[in-house]
Amino acid sequence: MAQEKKTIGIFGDSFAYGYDGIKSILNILLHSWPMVLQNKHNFTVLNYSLGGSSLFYSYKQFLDNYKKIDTALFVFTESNRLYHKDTSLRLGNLGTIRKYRESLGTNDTRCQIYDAAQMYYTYLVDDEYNGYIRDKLAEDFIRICDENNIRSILIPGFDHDIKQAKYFATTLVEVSHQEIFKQFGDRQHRPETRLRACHLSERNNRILADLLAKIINGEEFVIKLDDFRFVKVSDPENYWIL
Amino acid sequence: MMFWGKDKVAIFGDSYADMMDYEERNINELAWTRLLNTNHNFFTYNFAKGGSSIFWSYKKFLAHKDSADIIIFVITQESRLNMGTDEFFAPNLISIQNKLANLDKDDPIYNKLVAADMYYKYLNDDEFSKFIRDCIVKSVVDICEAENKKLILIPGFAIDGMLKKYVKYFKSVMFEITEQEISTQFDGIDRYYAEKTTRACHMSKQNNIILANFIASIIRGEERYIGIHDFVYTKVKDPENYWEIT
Repeated sequence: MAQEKKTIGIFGDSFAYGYDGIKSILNILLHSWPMVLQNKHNFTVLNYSLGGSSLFYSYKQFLDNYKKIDTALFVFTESNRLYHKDTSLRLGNLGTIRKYRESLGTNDTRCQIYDAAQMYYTYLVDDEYNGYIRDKLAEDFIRICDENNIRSILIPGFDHDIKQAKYFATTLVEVSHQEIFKQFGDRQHRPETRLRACHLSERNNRILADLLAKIINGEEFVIKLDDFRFVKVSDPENYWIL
Repeated sequence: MMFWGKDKVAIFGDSYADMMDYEERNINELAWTRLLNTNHNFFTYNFAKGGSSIFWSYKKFLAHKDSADIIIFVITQESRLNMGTDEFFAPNLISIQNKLANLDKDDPIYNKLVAADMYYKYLNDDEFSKFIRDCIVKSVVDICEAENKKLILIPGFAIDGMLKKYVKYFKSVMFEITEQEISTQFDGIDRYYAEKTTRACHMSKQNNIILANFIASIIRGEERYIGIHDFVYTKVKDPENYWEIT
């Protein structure tokens, strides 16, 4: 008898987002690791990720959808990201806020929200408070998965010290930074073209998908920075907007 | 110093547990938290502070819980913004506007207060705030259970969501008692007046006594419940001695 196809739910930010801007067939990034899980490893993938989103946004997506899935992959984004109900807003960090704020007309009511977010990041961010919330979200995610017989894989996007991230000894931002360092000799952020999905090279998206597929299927091991490949390309202009 | 025979009680929360006179920072002898010591002979440590957020109280709880076997935790409004400091609080828009009116723009806290003002106006989210509140209350409950401490949770403003599960002895919230007192005094007109030191924890002297007696009985092991109708509401002839009536 054929084994039933596993349904994977993916929650998180741009490190898990398998689309380029608009959710349409044309914009699906085929080489993103969520798409590799679906196309190469034959899982049914339900991707609830959204670039620039907060932890609480992803947690709410998880609460709304966990009953549909066998395995949950939750990429934990930066813990200080602001949550806002309006998902069209991009409040992830100061750089993003400035960029989107500038694009708005002066009478746009969203300007006030962006200004408030800018003030929040400048004067009110409290790492201890955000760390507490992050840890509670991680605890809740694991508890709900355990209670509902869902395999849980917590993927650290930015923070090393999430104790529930038992399959990872590295973070996704470290992999991304290491790629940039290999290419440019620094870790400075550069805007990316759609040939880089989830802020990773095509090869590292494949590696991540292959490793995650093994864990989804029951293997127990820890993913390390050394598991990824860092190669300098001869055509960086095709991957980064230089 | 030894306190043989006295139960040690640690109190955490906001102005509903703060026994200070806010202007003078003197102990207000009328406060139920003070009466637990003076009338009921408990040894009390009071870490509550008016205007504080629930995360601030939680941090005080973590830092000082070991000083007592009985914990009283007043749950403040979930929306209160964590300011990440002991120096000042920004519990709501009115409080922020009052503080800003007396501050120079060069004051180091000015921009923080402006940021808090904008947060309340444009970023505050009830669902997120309640999630954090519930997490903190659950953390307090779990720690007290694990460390075998008696916990009395007092709802300041709401008994909803997960609080229905955790709040044991209270059928009403503290804010309702204050509202009922004001409504009785001012013929149903619900408005805020600054309070004088003849009131403590936003309640009359009599209601502070009632609350202290009730809490004392719970500490001693009785299983009782208290609601809004267990308090008394009397119209006084001299409201100007209790409220700043302008």
